[in-house]
Amino acid sequence: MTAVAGKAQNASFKRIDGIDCRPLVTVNGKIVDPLSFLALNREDIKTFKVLTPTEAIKKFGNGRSQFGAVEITLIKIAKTFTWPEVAKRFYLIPGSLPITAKLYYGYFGGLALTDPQSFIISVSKTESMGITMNDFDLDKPVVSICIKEIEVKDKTKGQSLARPFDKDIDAVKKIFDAESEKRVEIRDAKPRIEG
Amino acid sequence: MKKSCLFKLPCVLALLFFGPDVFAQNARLYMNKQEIAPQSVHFLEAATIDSINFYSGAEAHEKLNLQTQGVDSVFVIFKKDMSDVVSYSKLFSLYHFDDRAQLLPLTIGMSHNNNYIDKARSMIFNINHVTSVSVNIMYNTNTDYVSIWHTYDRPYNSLAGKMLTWLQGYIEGYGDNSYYRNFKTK
Repeated sequence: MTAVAGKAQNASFKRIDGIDCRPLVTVNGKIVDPLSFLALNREDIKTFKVLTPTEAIKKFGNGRSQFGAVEITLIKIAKTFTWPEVAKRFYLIPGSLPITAKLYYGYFGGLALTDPQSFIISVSKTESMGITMNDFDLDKPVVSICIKEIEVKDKTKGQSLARPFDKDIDAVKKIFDAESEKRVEIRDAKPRIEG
Repeated sequence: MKKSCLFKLPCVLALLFFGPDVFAQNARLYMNKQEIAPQSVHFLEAATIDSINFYSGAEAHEKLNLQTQGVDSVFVIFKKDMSDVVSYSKLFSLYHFDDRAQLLPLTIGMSHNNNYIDKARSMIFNINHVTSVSVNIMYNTNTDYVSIWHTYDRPYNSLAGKMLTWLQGYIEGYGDNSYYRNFKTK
């Protein structure tokens, strides 16, 4: 068993509910929080490989691999932030933050990170970061981080640049979109008191 | 038509159309003896306020010994129990931001036009009325700014609640504030 697979076997994975079907995500051979997939700029990705659940379980063992896996390698010049780095970038004190964190993207509601400490994000995708004291969904303090959508452009022609793995990325993104939409539905069904 | 009426009519019309906005430029807000940024009204809890009084600048100077002038519209919030109120710097430390964040320009979330707040460091907050604090990167200029969000569950039915709501409209010029709308049309 490889070191990566061994770590995956031991990685803590708690399914909060039946909505979370995020695949296991590795970046440069290291297991990261699955939401890192959304937070990486496509321009920073060199290779992108999707493993089926069977292949993923064989390689990484049980746990999140039951939903498949995504193996990403980044280009050498890719600029990324780790969790403490992105917190510092936004003037937060990393050691004292609430343990729960949420990622907001596009027009969807936020998704809670499974393991913020292993989260990585492309520098170019960071938009804002802060603290919400009483999150409406989770009913506790959370760190919220927002990312922006970036279109990959062909710099010579000024047009959208098609990458060989675009279709794979879009297919995996749909898993996250579906979860996000479902969570928005649940949130909107909650009674809200307004003045 | 009498000559005096001819003179008065444009003055009344000018007051009706521009009055509140002109006054708002000189609106000054105090919490007891301390002057605070007017936008603090979005972050105060009506139920914990003893009273809100209005004075002309000269009146406030004479009666309360405040550093105000005749042209000012002075709103004084009287509040004995200050245990639920925090300063700008305290808010940042409660929200786990380092000291550098306090120096960034500030906007209030859902603010009418997202203008930066003048004298942000003199703002005060009822800690229960702040929902979130974040640092954002401005798209076009790539500069950092702070955004603070407040709750919307104000007790409209209490006298202080009505006054606070009215003050929000008075200071920000909100178009969707019924108390401010009533004031403008009276």
